[in-house]
Amino acid sequence: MYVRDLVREVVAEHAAHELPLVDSLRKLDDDRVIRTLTGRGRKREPLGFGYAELAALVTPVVWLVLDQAARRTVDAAMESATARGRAGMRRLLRRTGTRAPAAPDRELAGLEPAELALVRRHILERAAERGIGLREAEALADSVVARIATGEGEQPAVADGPAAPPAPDAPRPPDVA
Amino acid sequence: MRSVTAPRSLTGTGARFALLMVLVTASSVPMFNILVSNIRDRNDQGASQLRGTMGCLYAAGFDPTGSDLDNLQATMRRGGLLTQCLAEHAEGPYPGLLATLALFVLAALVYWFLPAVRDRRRRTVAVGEVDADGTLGAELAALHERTGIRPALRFRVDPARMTSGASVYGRTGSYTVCLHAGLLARRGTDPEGFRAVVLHELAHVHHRDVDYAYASTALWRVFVLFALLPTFAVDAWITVLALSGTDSPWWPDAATVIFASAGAGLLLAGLVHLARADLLRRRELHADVQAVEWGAHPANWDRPDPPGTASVVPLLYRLTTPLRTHPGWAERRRVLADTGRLSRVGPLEMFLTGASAALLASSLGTLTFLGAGSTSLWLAVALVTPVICLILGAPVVRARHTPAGRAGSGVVAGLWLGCGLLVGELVESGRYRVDWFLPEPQYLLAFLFIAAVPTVWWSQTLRLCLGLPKRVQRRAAAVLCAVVTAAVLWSGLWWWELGGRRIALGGGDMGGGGLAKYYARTVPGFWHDYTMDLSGLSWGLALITPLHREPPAGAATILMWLVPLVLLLMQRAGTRPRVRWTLGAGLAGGLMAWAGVALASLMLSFQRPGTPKERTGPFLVVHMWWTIVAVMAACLLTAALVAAFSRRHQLVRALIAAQVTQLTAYAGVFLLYASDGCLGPVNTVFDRCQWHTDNGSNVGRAVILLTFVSTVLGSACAALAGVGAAGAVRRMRGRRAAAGGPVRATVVPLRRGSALLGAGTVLTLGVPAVLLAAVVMTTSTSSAMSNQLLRESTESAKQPGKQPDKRPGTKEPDRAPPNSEAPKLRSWQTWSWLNNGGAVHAQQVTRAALALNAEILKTAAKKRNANGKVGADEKAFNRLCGTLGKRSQEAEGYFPVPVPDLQKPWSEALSRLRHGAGNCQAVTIPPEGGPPRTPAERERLFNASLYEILKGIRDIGNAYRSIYKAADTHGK
Repeated sequence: MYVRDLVREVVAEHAAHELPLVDSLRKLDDDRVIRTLTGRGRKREPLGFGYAELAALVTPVVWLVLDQAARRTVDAAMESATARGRAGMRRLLRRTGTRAPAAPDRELAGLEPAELALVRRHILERAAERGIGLREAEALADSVVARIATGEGEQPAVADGPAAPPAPDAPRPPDVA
Repeated sequence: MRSVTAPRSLTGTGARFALLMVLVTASSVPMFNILVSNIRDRNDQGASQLRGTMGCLYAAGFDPTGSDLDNLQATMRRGGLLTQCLAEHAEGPYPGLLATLALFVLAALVYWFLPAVRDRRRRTVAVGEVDADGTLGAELAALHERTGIRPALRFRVDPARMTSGASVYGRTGSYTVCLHAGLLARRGTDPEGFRAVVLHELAHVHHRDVDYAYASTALWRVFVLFALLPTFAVDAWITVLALSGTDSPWWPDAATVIFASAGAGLLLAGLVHLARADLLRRRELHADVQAVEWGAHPANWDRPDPPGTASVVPLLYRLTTPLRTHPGWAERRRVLADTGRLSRVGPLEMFLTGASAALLASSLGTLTFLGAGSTSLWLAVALVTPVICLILGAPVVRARHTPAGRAGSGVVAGLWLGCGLLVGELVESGRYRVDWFLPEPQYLLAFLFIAAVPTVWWSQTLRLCLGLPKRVQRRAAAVLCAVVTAAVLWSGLWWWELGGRRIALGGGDMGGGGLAKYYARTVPGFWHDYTMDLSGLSWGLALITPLHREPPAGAATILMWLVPLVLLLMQRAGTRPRVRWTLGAGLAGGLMAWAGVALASLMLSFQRPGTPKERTGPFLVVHMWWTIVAVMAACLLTAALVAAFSRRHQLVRALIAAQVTQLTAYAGVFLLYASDGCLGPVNTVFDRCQWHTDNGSNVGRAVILLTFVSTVLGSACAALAGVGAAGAVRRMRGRRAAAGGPVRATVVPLRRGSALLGAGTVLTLGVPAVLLAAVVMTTSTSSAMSNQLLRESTESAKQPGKQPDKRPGTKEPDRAPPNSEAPKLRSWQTWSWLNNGGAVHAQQVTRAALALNAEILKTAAKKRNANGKVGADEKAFNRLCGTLGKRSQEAEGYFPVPVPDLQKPWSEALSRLRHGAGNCQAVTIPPEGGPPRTPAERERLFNASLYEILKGIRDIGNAYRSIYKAADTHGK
């Protein structure tokens, strides 16, 4: 299952107003998206105007955490230093404008339950950093984890499918009996 | 209706953008000229580097190791000849113009294609691609519709920006609003904020900010890359060469000329950065106001400033504010709460405008095809005046519409403008100075007055213009006042070009009392009684004469008081201020002038020589000088007092009063000299009582010629000083004008016949003033002797103005061969002297001498008479001696030899030749009325003259040989 598809599903469910943002980000490749989402640069343009503070957005939270998770699986595949160097070089080339062959979109595959718990924790942490309320954050995290768990081994495109039920082993919010 | 007023108040910034771009373009012409000449002449060695303008200056005795004053005097000695030489050798500005044109084309291409490049690089996407439900596109179209913007406009999304902002770019007629990806998400949670951002960007399009901002950026970047950086590189290279031990007379004595171009470049860079940032900040605020007018909610501007700006280093934040292109949120909110802040005049913008004006005038001055006169200055003034008028006019117009509105007096703005002019002049003057500091830097303060007078005048007259009853009248009057403002500013700057700059260089009295010496020489008499008067006179004339024959300045001085007087009398019924008091004060000042003139005559009568003939010598000159002093002092004092005691329209009232004083004083001067002899102790020349119309009109004309322009301009300066002094006194007393002059802001109820009275007043004052101006500006000759003296003084005064054309330091120092400095400089100077005409003159003298010698030999070979003598062909000798005398005289009219110990034998030999040739001529064909001589006497004289000529020929040969030797040492 591709990270970007999963992100779009989650955002469509929890923060539909962010869909144009996700759609515009989907025009970029994964590396660039991550650079954009992590970048703090406030470059001033001559006639620019707007609000610099980043709002309580769901998209960066989900995308960054899922990308991290996907990268761990990829990292396990290419541990050699040369592969990393090649990836860095590719990024450099892309920055200077010569288009290197686009890297394949990141995929989530084979996450262990422990890793799923880690994903959940990271989402909660990042959401807290961005000022998202705890209840909303937990709903978000649960939804992501559930999708990963149910999406495993199935066809990736499930954007229009019904919302999957939460996984039985996922911890429930404390106020829910 | 409201949307119309906003762009109109913006026009000030548009004019400033235009001024900035013209400044950058104009500055690139001399820069490219220097660069081109550096590249072209890089291989020049030895004598070939002495061609052109540098050669002229060296020939005239210019010396980089000397002082500014020495050089000024050296170049003023044969001013006309130097001007001619410079004009012959002036390099055309065409390489610079062509390069500038190329620069301009390149900048235009950058401007045109930058948006497309930007689109490609940023990988922006169309709105439709991210707009799944189509609501975003619909909303953007609705907002576009609401603003009514006509040019082509498209919206795109930059996915790589997570901030909730937007920006706009593009080129004339085709604009792109680029929404940041973060803003798309914000639309769901904060639709009002989204609309505010988009409307703000659309306001930029509406105000044409995209055109200005991106065109100026394109031009500036191309200019920096192709003109400024290469210039800095050349300057740095010259400095490296000089520091690494290359020996040159230019180093370190004339290091100023090397650093001047770098200094001017740095000033230009700083100026453009600050001005651009200031303009963009203002445009941001205007866009905010426009967005709110289009329906954006002001609450969207209630944002906290980013952390670390106001709390951590508040001082640093404040200091760097002028460098930022965006105002802080707090500033934006303040402007939205009170839009009057937008039209407030800032010190920074006035300062920058002043510095731009100085740099622009200097750059335009290098365009030789504009002529040697004041055309380039007119051009600079024509570009700067609209900026000044719009900046200062906006608050005045606004104050009229809002009841509580108050606009500044223009004094502070004018002083800041003057500071800018001062700094610009100080940096630019380094190009023709070899000293680090001006000998008389206090005269630079004149710029404060040069700038403050037109700004205050404009602020006050514009208020009067707005008080006119009809709209057409208001507009026409405002345009006329703007033209007069331009003329007044031009007069001030032209005064500096003609006289002020020379005075600041220490050459006010033509160097070491040159003017005083000239008077002593041309007016025979006992000057030692008047040493003090003479030095005061030469100093004073240097101050007041530069503009006395400039018709535009004359017109400006008349319009300066006539226009406001008419405006005052035409004010709307019920609001017309009283002018009667002002006119009365002027008349009182006139009586004071009469008393002053009488007092001066009385004081001088103790020194009055015994006979009328003696009295027409130095005594009359000194007498006229003190008359001038009395007239001017009375006018200036009247102006200062009227300004100090007026509540409103101080400068305008002061000028009107001073003009009344001036005209009354002129009548007094005429009476004093016309009725000379009837006035007892106040008599000047005559003792017998008789009416001397000629005497009165001649002296009166001379006095008017010298004081007509300078008195009005001086009165304006005195009025400002009076306003300042009164303000200081009021502040010290701690209350606002409680002491109160006789003037209250009274208004006159409209009465029948007052229009007639007003017209009468205008005619009574205006007609004589115009007639006097016409008389003094058109008289070419005047019997008054001071005219003659002044003509010479102004003719020489124009010379320093020519000097900025030369750019000595930028190309010379790096090519100096490593020799000891003094002999090398001597050889440069003498070589240039020979090259620019010295050799030709020597040749012509020699040719004439040889022809005479041939005639002598021919005569000696004739068959002898019985007494062993030969008969000479008197006609032939007369002709040949005449030619020799003429050639010698012409050679004497050439530059003196730049090295003093070579000049002495050269000039002595020439004067011997001329003397001998004159004698020879007089003896061969005796002039009519000469003393009758016997043949023997004639023979003796003839032989003596020939011997003198022969000795002169020998001497001049020796002198020429030593000059040639001195010039020959640098290995051509």
